Amino acid sequence: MMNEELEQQASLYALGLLEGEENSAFGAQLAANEELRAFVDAMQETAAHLAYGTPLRQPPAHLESRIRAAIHTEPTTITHRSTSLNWLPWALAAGLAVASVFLLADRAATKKELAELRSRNAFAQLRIATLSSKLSSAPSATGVVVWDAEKQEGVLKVANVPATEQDQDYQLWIVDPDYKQPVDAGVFAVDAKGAKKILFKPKAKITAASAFAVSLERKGGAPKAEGPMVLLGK
Amino acid sequence: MADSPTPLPEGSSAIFRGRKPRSAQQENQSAADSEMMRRLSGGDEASFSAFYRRFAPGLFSMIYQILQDQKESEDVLQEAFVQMWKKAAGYDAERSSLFTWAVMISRNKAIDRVRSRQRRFRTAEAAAVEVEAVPPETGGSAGDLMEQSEERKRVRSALSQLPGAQREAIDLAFFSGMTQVEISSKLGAPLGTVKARIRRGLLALREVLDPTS
Repeated sequence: MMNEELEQQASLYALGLLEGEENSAFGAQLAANEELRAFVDAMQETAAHLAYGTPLRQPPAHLESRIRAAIHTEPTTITHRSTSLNWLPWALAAGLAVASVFLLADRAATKKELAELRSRNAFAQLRIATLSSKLSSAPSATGVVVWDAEKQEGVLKVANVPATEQDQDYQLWIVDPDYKQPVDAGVFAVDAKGAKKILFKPKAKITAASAFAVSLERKGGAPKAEGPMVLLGK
Repeated sequence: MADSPTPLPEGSSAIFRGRKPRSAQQENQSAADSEMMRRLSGGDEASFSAFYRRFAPGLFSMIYQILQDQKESEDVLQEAFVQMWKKAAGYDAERSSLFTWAVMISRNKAIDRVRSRQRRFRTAEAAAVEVEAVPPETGGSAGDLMEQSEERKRVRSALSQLPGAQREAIDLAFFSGMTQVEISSKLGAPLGTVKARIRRGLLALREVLDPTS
């Protein structure tokens, strides 16, 4: 339900004025609240009109061809669908091997191992996050993300996640305070046992991954999170 | 400010319960824009031309307002169009108009540049210049240019109807690249007051621009 404070946060979010934890927290709320998303979208539509309030200034004629040339030299868009895991970057594989144990074993002992892993220079750029279930119907659903900020890629492993309908996919999102919306990191489907392991690359450069979330979306994914949140972790 | 969130007066939140239904004209435009972006993402040159010529003048004007520098504005416009080209396949007309999508991507690029330069926005009074009657260079259609001119008049009229404090707050919020705290300091108003002005200003602007909302 909307209230004045939420509208205020939404207005600030629509203008990119929320920062850090405030932005991450609001982003998480947004992912789970369609009414709130509709409000933010409406505020952005309104704010965008401010662009019409500026004095008209034409770009120079040569700029269009310069932009075309820049586009033609861009590398091919990287697919963000899950890729084969016959080969994983070794740092991710090592991080995942340890983090996977976290899903099953004693958390206290594994946390100590993870801390030790991070302290080694070779793993300093890794971020490991555990994802917990947001589904009341599947409380044991869980996941772990190993994120390599330097290489801008990561691996997600999930377990005990319910199967989807044929016209649905799970979609991974990365919450980065630099972006108004969580960043799309790809879609996946779980196997018969409710498990999946994917290598992912986000659609945009991640400066600081403050949270990872999985939502249930239409087949092929959505440009912005629309469906219910399934897993969330920091 | 109240300790607990203030619920809205009865009926007011109904405005945003779900999404506003669109007119037939809006639906047609939305479908046409989606098709244009789909073709653009597939490398269609004509679609790119149409997209560029329709939006470049407005986006460049906004970027320049933010950066106040010709060369940097050209660079940022280039960055923005490259990013829009990359994201074209993901454009969702159900979530926003193409105009809003393009404005927000371009604005983010410009704000990023401001923050990386740590340059401060000049006051609205210092940056205001008379509307320049610049002959079109980029070959936009007469229809597009007339539509933009009419829209500019409509928005300026709407802005003039806002209370000065609200107009100033959303102006800084949209164009300056300042943080909430910096805006509060600039205006000499408490942070809570600034937040409230921004919210009320956007709601009031929306009401004027689209009374059916």
